[in-house]
Amino acid sequence: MTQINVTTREGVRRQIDAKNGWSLMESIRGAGLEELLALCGGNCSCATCHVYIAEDYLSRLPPISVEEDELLESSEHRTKMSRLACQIKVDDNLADIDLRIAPED
Amino acid sequence: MSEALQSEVVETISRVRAPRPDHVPPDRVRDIDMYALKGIEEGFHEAWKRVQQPGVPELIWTPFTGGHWIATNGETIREIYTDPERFSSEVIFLPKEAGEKYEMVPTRMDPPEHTPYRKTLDKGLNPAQMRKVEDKVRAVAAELIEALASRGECDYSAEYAKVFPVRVFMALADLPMEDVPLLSQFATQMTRPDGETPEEMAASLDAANRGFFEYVDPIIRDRTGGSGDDMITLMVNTEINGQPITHDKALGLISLLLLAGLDTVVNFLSFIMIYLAQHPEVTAELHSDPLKLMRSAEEMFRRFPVVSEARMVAKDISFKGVQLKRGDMILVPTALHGLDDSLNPNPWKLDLERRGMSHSTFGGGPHRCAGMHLARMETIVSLEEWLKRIPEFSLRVDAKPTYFSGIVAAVQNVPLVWPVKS
Repeated sequence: MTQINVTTREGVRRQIDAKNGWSLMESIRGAGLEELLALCGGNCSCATCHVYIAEDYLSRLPPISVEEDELLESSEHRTKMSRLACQIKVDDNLADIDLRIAPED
Repeated sequence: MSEALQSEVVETISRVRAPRPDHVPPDRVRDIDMYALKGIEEGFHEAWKRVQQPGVPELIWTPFTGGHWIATNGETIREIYTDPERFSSEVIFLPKEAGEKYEMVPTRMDPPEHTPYRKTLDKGLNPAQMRKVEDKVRAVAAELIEALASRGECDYSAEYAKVFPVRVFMALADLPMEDVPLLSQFATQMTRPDGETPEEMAASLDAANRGFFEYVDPIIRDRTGGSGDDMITLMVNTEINGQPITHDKALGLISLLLLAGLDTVVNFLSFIMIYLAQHPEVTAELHSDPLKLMRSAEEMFRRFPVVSEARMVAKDISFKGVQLKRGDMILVPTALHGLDDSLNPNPWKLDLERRGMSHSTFGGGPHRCAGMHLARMETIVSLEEWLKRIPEFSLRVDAKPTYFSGIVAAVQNVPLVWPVKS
């Protein structure tokens, strides 16, 4: 388990125990935060698990694939902190990571 | 020739067999006709799944349809889709003779030539664009279902699946509905061309391809420089590497848009409804939980793949224990990825709680389907609007859906019945 911190769209910050090896998306949804729609279930094909990652954690994440980049590009709310939560696997490296669920497109 | 008639003819003739090339080991040869699968009367997915027996090699070779390889499991299918350097899109339809007549753009291009055309397609089909048109799509679905609901029965294939995606598409492209029969005819001859030999099939496909081009030619001329917000105007007025798209390439691009929009979701929707009609507990689950319904589309894509395209081997290589020659064709049936037990346990079950599903229903790599966001939205909207009005339904007792295999699978005769409040 790795502890992560998720801020909802309403600004409520929650600590979540995320399962190592699962994706951030699954961990967030698994904790009952259904506002993260994650329509495609992790296949990198819908852009509805868009999150903002705290800057100091960005460099610890796997690089953005072409598919992820194209999907993020279609969001009106993309920033340099944007990632799709389904493309990031939880491991010890992400301990105490701060992330925020992006506004709905 | 009608499809029903065509399938009867296919059963009675012996299809032309290509001789086995020297580099194909005899123990890799299987008799598989992609246009007339054994057991197709039981179902399209069931028929493909027969090929995926335990111990079957990852690549097999069939003498039918001009002679070609077939990838038989999910890992192999994914590997082929995602590696354009070894597995080119130079020819993507079988038989190869027909595939060489196929002139849609940019499906036969490899990167980097492919990239700017793909961006043009995405402009009209990305998720942001889809959100803008969702209300329009929902209105089409609601109107169609509203008209059916009080009847208590319908042929879902003929009265909804064949009508809805086409109506949506014609609206988004701003084309008149009366052109649909002609375009549907062309689409069928592209993905399930008539003919008993590769040459005859090539002639059917070529005629359909030319039919599309002749149809879109005046439309493109008319909308070039136009200011409409329809998909065609949007696409013909984009630039490719800083230059306006050439007329030739625009013909191929807009024709592809019509082909892809007219024949895929149409068949996919019927497969879903046949399943739901036989699994009322799943239908009830979808009806009771709007979020679950929205998230179910992906599992449906996994469970009901409809496309079987090919890739051309780009250079002599050894792959999966055999030697492949440049120009060899490999069929990649997406059904054998989504239904692969080793990647998706209990693959026949439409499991709304499934974790980490694996499929290639939209292909993969640089050519991953540009229309997938439209397909997802059409699926969700169709189910929502249907269940809102018809929460319980089943197959009529004497129902006997008819299945067809080809580049895009098809299903007809899907009689559904439901209780009507008097």
